[in-house]
Amino acid sequence: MNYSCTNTLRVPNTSLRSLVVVLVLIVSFGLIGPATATQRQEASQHQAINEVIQRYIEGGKQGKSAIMKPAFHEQATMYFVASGNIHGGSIQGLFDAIDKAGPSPSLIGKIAAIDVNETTATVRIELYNWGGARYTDQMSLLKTNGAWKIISKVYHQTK
Amino acid sequence: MSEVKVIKNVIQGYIDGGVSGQSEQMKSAFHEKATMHYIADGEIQGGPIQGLFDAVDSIGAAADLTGKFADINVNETTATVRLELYNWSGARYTDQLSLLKIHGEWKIISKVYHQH
Repeated sequence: MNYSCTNTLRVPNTSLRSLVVVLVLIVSFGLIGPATATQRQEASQHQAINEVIQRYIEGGKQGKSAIMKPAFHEQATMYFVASGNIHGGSIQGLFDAIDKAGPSPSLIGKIAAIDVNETTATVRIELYNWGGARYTDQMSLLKTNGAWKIISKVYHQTK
Repeated sequence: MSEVKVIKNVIQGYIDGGVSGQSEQMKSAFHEKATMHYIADGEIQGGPIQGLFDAVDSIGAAADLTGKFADINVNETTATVRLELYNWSGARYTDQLSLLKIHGEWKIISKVYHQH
């Protein structure tokens, strides 16, 4: 048997040349190609922060504050505004509410923005269907001995 | 006035207090329960915002201090602001502030910062 691949491999010369030119341009302008040290560092910071936030969301889903506690620093606070008034205080208020509310399996949390600045960061999270409610969280985090901890949570409930 | 402009005005009060070295000038920008935290040697430091007021009064005037708004993210009753601060008595900081809209007035409830 004499198989020939000639037909399947044949690429018109002009198309091939165009492809090579495009690839060279992409690489030379850095659109693809190896990430810089800064980009890699930023990606790993985002990943570490993402893991902390996922722990918080998972605690909400399961209705178990013990799951989310490691995401927060012990001095963390939570505040919100209702009818113009400020409410909240120690993060313990969140843990108590979680344990009281119980599981919320339909909860979906989406990280909308992460802004990292070496030892500090802010994260905006969109939360859907948390016991039927819709929230936006704005968290502040600090990097303690390599581990990110939430120090401040403010949130808005969309009516 | 846009919400962003209102927030900028509030934060300008904080910067002005830093320039004059008089905490009285910045107090109205903060809620009384506000906190300030930062990292030193890998540990969280800070606590009540009074720590900032005491530091500002003790440092005194910082005439060359300038603040630049790098990012403002508003969400109805909450907001975060990233503020780049240059030459605060020679030091360079980035602040990340959380604010709440209480009875129509924006107040800083949390400040975290990094010294460069």
